[in-house]
Amino acid sequence: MQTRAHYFDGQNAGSKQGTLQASPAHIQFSAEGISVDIVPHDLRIEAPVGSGRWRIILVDNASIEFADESFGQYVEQCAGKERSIAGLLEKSWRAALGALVVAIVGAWLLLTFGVPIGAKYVAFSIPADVDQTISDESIEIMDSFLFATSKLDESEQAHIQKLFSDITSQHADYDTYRLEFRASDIIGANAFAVPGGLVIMTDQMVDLADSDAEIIGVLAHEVGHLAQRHSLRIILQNSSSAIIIAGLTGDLTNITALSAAIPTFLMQSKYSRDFEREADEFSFAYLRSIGVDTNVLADLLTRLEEDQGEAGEIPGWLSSHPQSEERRPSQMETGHAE
Amino acid sequence: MDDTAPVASKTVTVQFSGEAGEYFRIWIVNIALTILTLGVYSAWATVRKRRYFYSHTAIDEGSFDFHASPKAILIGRLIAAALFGAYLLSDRIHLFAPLALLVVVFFLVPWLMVRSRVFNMRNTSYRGIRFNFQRNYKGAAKAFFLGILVTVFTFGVMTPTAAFWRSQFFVNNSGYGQTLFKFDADHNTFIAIFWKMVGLSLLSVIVVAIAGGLIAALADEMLGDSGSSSLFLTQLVGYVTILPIVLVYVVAGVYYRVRLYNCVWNGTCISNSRFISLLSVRKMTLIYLTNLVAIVASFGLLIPWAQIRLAKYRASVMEVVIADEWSSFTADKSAQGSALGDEIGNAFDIEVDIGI
Repeated sequence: MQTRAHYFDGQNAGSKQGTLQASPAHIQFSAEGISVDIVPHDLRIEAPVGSGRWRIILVDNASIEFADESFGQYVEQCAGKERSIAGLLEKSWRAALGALVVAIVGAWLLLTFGVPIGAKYVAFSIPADVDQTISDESIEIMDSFLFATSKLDESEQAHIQKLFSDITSQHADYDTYRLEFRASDIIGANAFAVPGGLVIMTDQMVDLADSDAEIIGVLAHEVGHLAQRHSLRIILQNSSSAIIIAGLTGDLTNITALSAAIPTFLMQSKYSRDFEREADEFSFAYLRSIGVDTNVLADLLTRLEEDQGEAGEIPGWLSSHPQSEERRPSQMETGHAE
Repeated sequence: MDDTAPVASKTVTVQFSGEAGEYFRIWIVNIALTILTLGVYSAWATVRKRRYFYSHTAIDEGSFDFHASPKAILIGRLIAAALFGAYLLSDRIHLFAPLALLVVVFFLVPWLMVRSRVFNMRNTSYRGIRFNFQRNYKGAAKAFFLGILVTVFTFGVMTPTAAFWRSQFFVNNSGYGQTLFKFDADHNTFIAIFWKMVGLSLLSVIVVAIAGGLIAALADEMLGDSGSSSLFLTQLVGYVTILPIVLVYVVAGVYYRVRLYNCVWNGTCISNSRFISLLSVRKMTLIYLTNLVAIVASFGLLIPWAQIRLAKYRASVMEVVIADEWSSFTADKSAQGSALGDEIGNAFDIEVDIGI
């Protein structure tokens, strides 16, 4: 067999056009003033990615290039070389379809199970007390920008502190958790957990609650976030999912890169909702253990929404929190059954 | 080599022969294998992707190729991943530790920029000869830090000058074999492009705002001043005006990058030969926007099609005026292999102005 080929000497960019001949015993390139002989066994050949140029690599950076696909396969055969697995898969549409299925199922498994499981493992293997500094420092910053001292009277504070310590006495790991009160016109009625074991509740939230049970529901939800180390896990999950999605969509440039932001955002919202549900479950379990109606949390959240005038118009799959009405234990059970 | 005599010049168009269907198969196999190997294959995937695009790009019947070792890329990525992990968790040590790390990386940017370039250029070949990049850290620091300083201290007025310095640095330190590229673009062209972009986008935003105001006033007149309808109106005008403003922003961005890209290539020469790039702002905007729509609507399946389409257009408007014998470009024997630093630099892959 023979084909047209170009010879490059590797010393300069000039080329020589000639003929490449191959038989099982002998490969030879000949052009004006040059002749190269290769024993098939010693052949170093590089197949193209897709249809393209084949390259025979010679000593001293010299090379021979040709485009004839069937010639390339014949030479490979003569030399006893096998095509790489990737090279073979890339040739067939059937393999591409298989790869598509693997990609979809694999990406789904990786993002919905792999990432959360991995993040949980990493988060719980880091000792809890390393969170202490970040908690102290971030509350200092928030105090100077967001918060004023609480105006709740001491007996009310002491009463709620008692409710809180009842929750944290469940487990020795929760001993270090603290509750502090702040007033804030900017964020209004709210309660949140600061990594490191601090729960902040605003005066406005205390005012909004109708009963101790509702306050217990919220406090237990925040303790749930702390106990499950959600702050660390969400950082790990968000960054690893962003890297995975960026890696899979490839290097999109410029405005097309926006399209990779959509799945990233949806995935991160889902992670956030999952953690809210996990904290809800924690709260429900505690409420049940002390014999309180588990609907108190949803009651308070619904009132909070009405108070802030949020009609809950964000569709569920976009939101960082589950819909308040969904956060009743009875609703969640039907949700599971579906 | 400046002493080579010019030969009768010929102008050739860059040929890109990649096909969407063929590249789709390579792309999807890359993704599947990357997932199955939990990311390890991503380094091999990168090499195959690059090899596909490079080897399907030809000038005067000679094509490009990419020779990086996937293992080298993998090592670089592992180091980058470890650093990123340290960055994520460092706030547990001190709240400002991540910031401190960012500052350290910021001061390493010139080094990373150079190493990334060295890695990519030395692993790219054309006609059997490798490209090259000089390890000019001083030049990189000057182009990068000085550029940022003058931009900040002039409140952005000197943005085009900083872009000019960076392009000049990258072109002048690049080489094909032993022959260095030369940058002879006009500084004033950079300045003109920047201010035209600023002027046009300001003008467009003003026009859109006035049009929005007029529509609102007109509708208000017709509907009367019932409370609920005026709220509805404000929202409507908001929606009507935000879209053109986003569009102005996108077009301005494409305009700036495309014109700069053309300007950099048109100001690049090597020995007696030079480049001509004639990207059109209108066509690039159209390609970007339709690519974006196609990618979102196909849930990403048209990404390979979009990338091939872009590469085809870019090649079709790129010409090379060849006025040298190919044999006058000689290989640089000293530039072999790649150091670990190159691999780390490559993992950070610092984008530069002409990366479009």
